[in-house]
Formats: sequence, C-alpha cells, structure tokens
Amino acid sequence: MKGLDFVNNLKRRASYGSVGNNATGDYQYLPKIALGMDYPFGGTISSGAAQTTSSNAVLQWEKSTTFDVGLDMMLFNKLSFTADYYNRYTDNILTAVPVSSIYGLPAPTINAGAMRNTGVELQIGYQDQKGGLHYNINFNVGFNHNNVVKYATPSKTSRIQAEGYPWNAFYGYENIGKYQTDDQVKNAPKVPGAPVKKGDLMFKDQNGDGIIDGNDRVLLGSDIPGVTFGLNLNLAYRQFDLAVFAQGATDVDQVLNNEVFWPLVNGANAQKMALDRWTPETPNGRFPLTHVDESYNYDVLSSFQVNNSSYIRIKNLQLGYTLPAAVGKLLKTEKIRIYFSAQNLFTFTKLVSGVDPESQVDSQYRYPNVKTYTFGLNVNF
Amino acid sequence: MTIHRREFLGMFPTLLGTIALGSCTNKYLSVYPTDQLTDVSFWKTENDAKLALTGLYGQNPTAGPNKDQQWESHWNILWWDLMTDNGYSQFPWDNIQVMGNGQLSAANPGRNYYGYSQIRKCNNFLQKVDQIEMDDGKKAAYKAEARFLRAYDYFRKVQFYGDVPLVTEVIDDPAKAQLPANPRSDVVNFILSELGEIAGILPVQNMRQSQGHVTSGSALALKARLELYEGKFEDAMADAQKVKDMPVYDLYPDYRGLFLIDNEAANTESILEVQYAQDTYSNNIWQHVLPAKEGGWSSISAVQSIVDAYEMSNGKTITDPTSGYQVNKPFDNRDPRLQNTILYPGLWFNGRYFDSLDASSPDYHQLAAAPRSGYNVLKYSKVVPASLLQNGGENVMVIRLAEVLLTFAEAAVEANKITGEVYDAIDKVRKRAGMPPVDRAAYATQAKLRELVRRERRVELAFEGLRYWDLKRWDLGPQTLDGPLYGSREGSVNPQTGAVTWSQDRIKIEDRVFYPERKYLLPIPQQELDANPNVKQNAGY
Repeated sequence: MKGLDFVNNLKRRASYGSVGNNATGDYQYLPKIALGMDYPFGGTISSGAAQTTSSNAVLQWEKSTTFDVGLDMMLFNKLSFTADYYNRYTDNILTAVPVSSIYGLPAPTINAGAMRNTGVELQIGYQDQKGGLHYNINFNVGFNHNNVVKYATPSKTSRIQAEGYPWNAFYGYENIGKYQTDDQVKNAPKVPGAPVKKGDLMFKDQNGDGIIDGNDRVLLGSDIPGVTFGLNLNLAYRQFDLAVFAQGATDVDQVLNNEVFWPLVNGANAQKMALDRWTPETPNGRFPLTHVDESYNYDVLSSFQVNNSSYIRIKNLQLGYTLPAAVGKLLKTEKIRIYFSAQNLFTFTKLVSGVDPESQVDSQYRYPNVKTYTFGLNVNF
Repeated sequence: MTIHRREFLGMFPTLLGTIALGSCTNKYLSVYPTDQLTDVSFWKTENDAKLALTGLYGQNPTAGPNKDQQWESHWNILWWDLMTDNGYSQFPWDNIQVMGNGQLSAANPGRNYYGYSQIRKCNNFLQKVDQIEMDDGKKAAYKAEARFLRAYDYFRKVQFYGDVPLVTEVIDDPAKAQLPANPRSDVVNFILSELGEIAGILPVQNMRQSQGHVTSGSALALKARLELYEGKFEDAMADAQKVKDMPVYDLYPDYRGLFLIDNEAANTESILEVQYAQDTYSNNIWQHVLPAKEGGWSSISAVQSIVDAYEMSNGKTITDPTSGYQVNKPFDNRDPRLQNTILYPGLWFNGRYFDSLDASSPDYHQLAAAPRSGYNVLKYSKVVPASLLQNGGENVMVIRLAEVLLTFAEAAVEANKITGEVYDAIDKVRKRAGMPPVDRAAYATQAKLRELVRRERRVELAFEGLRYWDLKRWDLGPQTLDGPLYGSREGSVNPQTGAVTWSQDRIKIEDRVFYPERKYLLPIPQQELDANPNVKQNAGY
C-alpha cells in the first residue's frame, strides 16, 4: 500500500457459526423406572421399583451461535495489535429449572432459556532490540458481559438463574452494617425465626414490608470475571535472559466457604481475621458477633460474604544466565545455562489472606496454587 | 436448469433419506433403553405390581442408614420428641434443633416434609396397577396399601403444614404443579375417608402376620389418632375400640423388652411399624442412641422435664408431698419406665454406673458424643459391637396397642364418657409397665383424669414421636416449648456404688422461643416459595 509502508499486516476477520451441545444424561425423554427401591418385609429384603427421575419428551440440543469480528495489525514490524468483538447467543440451555415439590419428582432437564455473552478482546505487542537488549512485551485484556436473556422458571438459591441476571450469580441479602443498639434489635425489620442480637449482621428490607425474608434478596456479585488480563515480558541482554508472565482478573467475586470464612462453624477452627469482630467494646470490628453454633448470619448468603476477588498474579518468572561460549567450549559443550524460575511468586489481591483467588467457589479449603521455586541447569552437548 | 435423467436418479436416494428422517423421527431416532425399565414397558405382570408396591414402602438401601426417603423412618419417630420438652437434639445437622428452639425459617426449615414424591408414587401406582391382569383380591389389597401410605403422608403434612395441596392424581406437567393449598379440613376429611374405606379391605393381622405390610388395624389406629387430634372424640373412641377388639394384638409383657430386637418375633403389640434388616436394609439407631463409651453419638438426649414427669412407683407424682420423693435421690422408687427409658447418672449400664457428670468420664456431658443434658435415651438401644452400630436390623414401631388404649382413654375423657372401661384401658398400660392401677378416687373428675391420661401418654410413649402433636392439640406450647431448657443437675457419681452427690447447679442446654402465631406449623421451605407462586407461607415465618 502506497504511503502506508509501515503497515506490515492488516487483516479484517468475521465469522459466524453454530454448535450444538447434548451434554446431559441418556434417555431423559423417557420416564425410567428405577429398581433397587427395596424394603425388608418381615426381615427379608424384597425388590422394589419406582420412578425416581423425571423425563422430558420434547428435549432438544442446546445451541450456541457465535458472531465474531476482528482485526489483526502489525506496524513497523514492531507493534502488533489484535482486536475482537464477539457476541455468543446460547439458546435452549440444557438445565433443570426448579419445579414445585408438589410435582413429586426432581426437576426434569429442559431447554430452559437463553443467555448472551458479549465482549471485546484486545492484544497489543511490541518487540524491538536496542544496544544488545532484545525484548518483547505483550499485553492482552478481555471484557465480557454475561446476561441471561430468558429463563423458564427462575431458580433462586444462593445462586440465581433468572432473566436479566448474570448466569449463576450470587444472590442474597444486602448487608447494611450490624445491630448496634437495643433499639435496632427491637425495632429493625424482623428476621423470622432468628433471635438477632447486638453485633449480628443487619440486612436491608428491600421491599419495605418490615420483614426480612426471601423477597428481600438481591444480586450480590458474580464469579464470572468482567475483565481478565495478562502480561508477557521477555528480555535478553548479553548472557542474561528474563521472562515474566502475569495474569489477573477484576470485576469478579467469591463467596468463601462457611468453614473458611466464619469462625468456629461446625467445630471448625477460626482464622486470625475473625479476631477483628464485633464486641461491645469494638462495635466497628469487621466481623459480626461470634457464634459457636450456626446462626442465621452464617446460614444465609449476604453481601458480607461476597468478597471482591480481583487479583494480579506473577504466574511465572524466569531469570537465566548463559555461560560465555568460551567456557562452554572448554567443557566441550555447546551451551550451558543456569536459571532460576518461580511460579506464583507474588499475588496482589484484597481477598482474605490464605485464599487463592484462582480457586473455585466453595472449594477454597482445597490446596491452592502453590508457590514453586526452581533452580536449574541446562547443558547442550 | 435442466436435470438429466441419470443425475436425477442419482439424487433420489438422498431425497428419500431426507424425507424419511423428517417424517419418521419417532420410529428411527427414538431409541428405547434395553437395560432399563420405563413407565411404558413396566406395569405388565403381577410381579411388576409387587415391585411397585414395595417401592412405595422402601428406598434404595444404598442411600444410607437414615432411611429418610422411605414411607416413614426411625430418623423421624425417634427424633420428633427432640423438638419438645422431652428431649434435645445436639447436632445441628440433624435438622431438628432449630425446630425445637424456634430458630427455623424458610431458609433454614429444619426437617422438610413438604415433598410429594411419596404422594406421586402412590398416585402413579393407583393409576397404573389396573392395567395389570392379576388376582382381584390381591390387587384390591395392594391398592389399599398404596392408599394407606398416601394417607399417612398427608397425615404428616397436615400435622406439620396445616393447609397443603391435596393431589390425588399424577401431575404430568411440572408447570401444572404450581398448586395452591387446600384447606386442611379437606385434607383431613380425605385421610379419614380413605382410612375408613381401606380398613374394610385390608386384613386383620398384627405386624408379625403381615410382615410389616399395613393392615386393617393400622388404618383404624391411624384414623383414631387423627380423629383424636381433630377433636372428633366419639369417632376416635369408636375406632380405637375396634382396634382394641381385634384379637390379633396384645401388650408385650415387658416394657423394656418391647424395644429390643431380640424380642421382635414375639411382639404382637405393634400395629404399624417400619421394617429394617441387618446387612441388607439397616438403620443407624444404635449409633445415635448409645452413649459415647459404647461407641454411640448420644444424638438423642432426654431433658429434665420428662424425668420429672414419671410418677413414683406408688402412683403419686413427685410434686405430691406424700409421694416419698427425695430431691437428692431423685431416681429412687420411680415408675420403672424411667430407668427403662432414660439412662441417668448412677444407673447401672453395661457393667458400670453411668456417669455423665465427671469431666474425666467418657460420657461427660460436655464431650462431643455425650448427651448434652446428662441423660441418654434407652429405647431401642442395645449394646452391640462397633460393626453393628450403623447396621441395625430392629424394626421401629409407629403405632402400638398402648397408644390406641391411651387414645381411647383420652377421647373418652374429652367426650366426658368416663366409664370403668376407660380406667381399665389405662390400668392395662400401667400394669404392664409395673405400675399400680389408677387411684380411682384421686382421679375421679374429668379434669384430674385428663391430667393423668396426658401424663401417662407422655411417659409411656416418650421418644416415639408423638409429644409434639400432643402439645399441639393441648395447646401447651407456651408452658412447655418456651424458655430455658434444662438437663440433669451437676454432681459426681461414685463408681463403686452408683450413688450420686448432687450440686445445686443444673445443666442449661439452650434457650427456646415459642411463637404462638405459628400455630405449631413448620415454614414452607424457601425453594418451594420460589418455585410455586401460588403457595402461601405459614403465619409467623
């Protein structure tokens, strides 16, 4: 292209496609009779049978249709740039929506609804060399927006699947501080069945009917990140080389498992953070009044338990030194390189100390990603 | 465009294939499983009817020893009293504790009896079994059993939730399951009319003869129970009378032995019971009831209130100054049922004097597997090797003759038809337990006899799951289900003699709150409220 010689590469892309998903059990369109529903009449086991699962005669495939437009660019042989916009519409989602227990069988798998993921993915890279320094740097970022477009019967446990909400988002009560005075304990909207005390969490009566119940629950956050990003850096200078890979996410939340978050639940231990709690002397402590038994605060999900799990993590760092060629020759080798490498070296997060922001929700008590240091020696003959 | 003949013929098979796929989808693409039964291929033979009937009673035995998915379970019968002034459930995950202390809510509803899986199974059975050609008498009996099990489930629902949807046919479309509740009176009338009809179809047999199948006596005894609960006293008397008159039932001579697996074959007192079998269909009763030293978990504790309810062996209450009750020897000369029901400090048990009071004892009440109140419960317990703790085969009685006798007595007292027969019924129960007959002079009035019948019912049937419904119909919640819950006094047990030296301190277990506006009903679970916009939460939740 005349006058645009600095443009080494420029490509526009567009794609459109559909894929199906039948990831659900077999024969779900038939009412199956399960054997093994036994009973021991007179002490002798008799075989029994009953329908224990439900069926759906009109079950179909789940279908995802993706539209994507993108742009790839390389300028001055140094600066690369990629941008993508995508719009993925997933229809006939295969899932079991809640049914009234009056139905008498577990919820059947149905084609429940549709959701849309839209987003932008950007990548910028730069590579150059200057006075013996070779380097390239690569940064990528993705923005995603997830929204359920339609859903047959909303499912509202501590996770919500309903129209207008992010898929499987956290759903519960909005925490508005703690009961600090006897007057509040007496006169704030009532929580049926829960004898609240001073220091317990106070929830917002969203509909203003004077009672805190299931109708006062709201969207509290999502564990699907809104923004993810990564950074790749490679440097080489004379005998030294350095590689760094960092990644992170933001606009993302986690609900910590009860035993991890609440002190002393079900005979579990307490974390040090639990010391920062409400007592008459420390009314502004972070945690509410400590209960040794389960309490209402611990039983229901509220915004108090929804923790911002944004993070940046140095996933991988490697620093190497290659011995001068003369030394290599002396030892009759082609190349000798010694290096130090570290995995998960640093993590910057506001999440509770000791909990891995990359862990799955409700499994934070499992092993986190471990920090690893490696010293190594590469010898090429 | 022109198509040459040869090309057209070449396309033909493809076109044909497309048409076939489009029009005969069911025939060619619907595959029926060859290794599983479906509701379509089932319901053909008498054996299918038998399989389905068994499926109404039972559950998959591999789903654990709680057996809480079958028609009824020890997990209910032995636990229900723990939400009353008889007992305490120390483990929150047993889901009974909140039902006792009032902390239950839609989000944390305790035990859930709102499910309709049993109702659906029964309805499906009743709709499909007619397709099967088999002996008519047998089929009628099978159907009567299914109707009983459905009525029993509705009985629990009415007791726990009041108004509930009355569903008597299979609901095919989940969307049509969003039903509003029927008034409880409709459901009660349905249960009573069903039980009345099937009592005439089912055989007159005791549980040994029927091997655990429900019988005519089961139907009449449940009917009498519900009539008593509903204040239909004359009906309750009449139905209890019919059961009393059935020649197949007798009180088992030994109260403690009645609850031991060893005597099951001779138990003709049982009118309705849940069946278990070691190895193939076991329960975990021994694990839950036995004290810590015997490897148990002490999941079920008795509390002070029931201990105080037992009379002295002379028939006087401990509050009577002439009873001979000694505050510091509280277990001396008591109704023998006390030591046959409750394991208290200083009682000889399994080669030792039971000690829940000393901090060094394995049964010390503050230890995890020890009774929080200081009192274990002995009903159904038996010292067994560890391998059997969760592999018990003892059946659990849901209704037994003693209850029917006391139902008859209470109904007669409430109907104010106090005859010699009423005293006889109570005396029969007391005599078996080793108690003197009722002092007819002291308990001559309706009010006095009411007091006695209620006490008798409480101690005779303790930890058999009836106390909550008793308190409900007597409306004694404010007096019995509110305030602090106490266990034994602290003290020390002499390991040589079993003598207890008591301190003044009493074990306080928890504070309970009774909410009268709840009318003794449970909350409809939140998931049901979310799934069914037509259902209304019970008052007070």
